[in-house]
Amino acid sequence: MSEIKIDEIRRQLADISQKSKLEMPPEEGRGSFSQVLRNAVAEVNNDQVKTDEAIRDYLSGRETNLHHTLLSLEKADISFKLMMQLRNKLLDVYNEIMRTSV
Amino acid sequence: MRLDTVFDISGSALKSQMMRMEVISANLANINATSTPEGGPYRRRDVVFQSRPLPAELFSDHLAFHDNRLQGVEVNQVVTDSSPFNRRYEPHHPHAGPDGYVLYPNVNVVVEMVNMMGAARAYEASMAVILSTKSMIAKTLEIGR
Amino acid sequence: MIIDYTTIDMLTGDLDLRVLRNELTASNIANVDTPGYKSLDLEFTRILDQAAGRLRMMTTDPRHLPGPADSASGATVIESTFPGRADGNNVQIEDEMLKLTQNSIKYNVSIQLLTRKLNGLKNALMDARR
Repeated sequence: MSEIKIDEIRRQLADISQKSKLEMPPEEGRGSFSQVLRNAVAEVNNDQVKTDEAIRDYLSGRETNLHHTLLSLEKADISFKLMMQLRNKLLDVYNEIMRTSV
Repeated sequence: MRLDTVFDISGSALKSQMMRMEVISANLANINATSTPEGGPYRRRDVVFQSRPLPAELFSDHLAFHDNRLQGVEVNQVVTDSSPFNRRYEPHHPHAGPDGYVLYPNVNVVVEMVNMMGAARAYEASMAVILSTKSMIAKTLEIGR
Repeated sequence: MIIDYTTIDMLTGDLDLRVLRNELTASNIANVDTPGYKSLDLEFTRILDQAAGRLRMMTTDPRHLPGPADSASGATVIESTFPGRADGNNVQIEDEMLKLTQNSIKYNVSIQLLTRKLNGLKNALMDARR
């Protein structure tokens, strides 16, 4: 995935997180809407960092097993796709809520 | 799949067995050499194999799944065979001694041929390891494809 | 994260063992003519934890190789006690060639299973749309 796309998603997530702080009462407990969104933003960046780390470990000779490197890339990719789905779901829920509020 | 370890090990084996082949070739080429620059007939030579540990730079600090007993191989030395020369009764030979016997190299064609087959087989076996590892690496790159 | 990577980690552990076994075989084949060299291989130790119904790893020996947490089996590298030939070498080249092929196949199988599992996860994620 390109850098531009990731930045765009991060921007959208940050955007929603910002809006949700203003227009929705914070929920009690772990399931706070903005908290989940903030985690999502952090997670997307984390995947990219992990991918870069895996590649650098391979290039520097720190990681000698090729399959470890490839698996790190795959896990980061899956994590990213999961984030995408979460983002889509959250967007849906958000839009739904905005439509029905007074 | 680790890229470098196997190639170092098997590569060292290819070099060593090739050196062994060269020594065997020299023995066969000189099988009838009754005189040499050093004086006397050609003396059979042989290689001595020895395990050699892998170079340190192949291993990172965070090495998992590595064993120190992994070894490559190298030719430690080339030795001359001190077994007695072959003697043949050829009184008219220019190198014949006063008793009419000529000293021939202590090289036995059958022994050299058997050794040559052994060296060739060992060479091919290490080559097989390299090819097999290469295919494992190719498969590794297909993870997730 | 939310995803359960247990199976993938187990497969990775298997791949790690196969990599090492391939290297041991390479070492054995390279040293088939080295006087005094003893053949090396992995000894698989596996304990089935009957109560939990899971495979548990034995870690009594300090030379024991670690596998991923909760993975299938552990393994130690041992020298073969097979009697040596005249020069003390006990490498059986036919066995080694067989091990080479067999190990390579099992490695490829694990790679395949890994790929299919990963693609399964990816597909599940892509299809869970609206």
